Amino acid sequence: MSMTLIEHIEVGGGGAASILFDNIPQTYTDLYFVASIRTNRGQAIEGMILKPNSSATLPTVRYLLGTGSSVISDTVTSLGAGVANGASSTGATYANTGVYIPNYTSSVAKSLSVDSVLENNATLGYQNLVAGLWNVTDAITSLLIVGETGGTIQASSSATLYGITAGSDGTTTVS
Amino acid sequence: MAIKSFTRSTIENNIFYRSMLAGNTAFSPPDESILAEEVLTGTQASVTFSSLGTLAAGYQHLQLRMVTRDNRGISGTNNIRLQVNSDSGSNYADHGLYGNGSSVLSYANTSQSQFNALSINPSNSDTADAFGAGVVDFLDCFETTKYTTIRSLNGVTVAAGSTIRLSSSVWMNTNALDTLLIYPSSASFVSGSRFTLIGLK
Repeated sequence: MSMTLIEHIEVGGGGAASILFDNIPQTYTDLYFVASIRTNRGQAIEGMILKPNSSATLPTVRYLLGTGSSVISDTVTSLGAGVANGASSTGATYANTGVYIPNYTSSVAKSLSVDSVLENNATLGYQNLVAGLWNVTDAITSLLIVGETGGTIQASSSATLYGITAGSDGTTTVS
Repeated sequence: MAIKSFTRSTIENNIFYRSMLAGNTAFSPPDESILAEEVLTGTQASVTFSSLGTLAAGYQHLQLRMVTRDNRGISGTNNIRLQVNSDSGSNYADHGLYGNGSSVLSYANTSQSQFNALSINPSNSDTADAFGAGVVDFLDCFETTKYTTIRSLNGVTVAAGSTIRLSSSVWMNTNALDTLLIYPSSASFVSGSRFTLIGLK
């Protein structure tokens, strides 16, 4: 297994409506991206939607979410890219998210796994585990990350996309 | 003494340069690389990774992988803590989501003097040779425009209280990471505990 940097995006001074990884090479086995995002939504939290190929069909996800004082679980389409800090959370604090998408070039539905945290110097904070399915058979050629309420992604937010290549050490056997 | 390019010099065209880099292909570190690793050979109160700006030059993110056990004389899980850049002020908040085999819980700590729950491990009275494991991600940790948020997936299986946990912390300081001090909330790490620091471009 090897991990190759595909692209690192940092949002500039004016902020951005979304983050887009476009023209993703079809040469890797899996995709993995990390994201450090804050939006201007007037709440502590912003759910981040993941749109493979900018498709109107969003991944459906089952999530587990800790809030700092309680735990909830539900099924939605709004947390495919985890959570992001909103404007009412501690200033200068950006969420920390990892998203794994295996077999992104396959011609079957794509699964995804997300672990995401939103910190805040208050009781309210979020730890988010997500299992999702994008029930589309097209290979993934782009990934669009956008806030569920349309909040502007703030300057210094970033996302980094990696390609994961399956390998063989020549000795390990799989049966 | 003049310096010779390793790749371009031959007996016929003996080219000399003032720099070792001249004429040679520029070195580019791999996109993912182990920067440092410490495997303890005896008990140790803490582990420190320092000079991260130099050690991780060229990398955007860090990942810390830990396999740990401590020498407390009781059974049960023990938290692993983290201080950044020797900062012991009330500049950390942390939260966690965890399951203990029968229920799922969430907690919060504000204005702390360390990240209380970097990872988790068993102790001397637990199953022999059982260790806890944690994978910790630091994103954009050398950027000076924002605080550093830390994400850790960690867990341990012991008779006295197995735990799986997603924990996090914010270090409320915009300085670049330079030092990581890792220590159990009580007692010391035991031999065989392993700490691996990985750079990600």
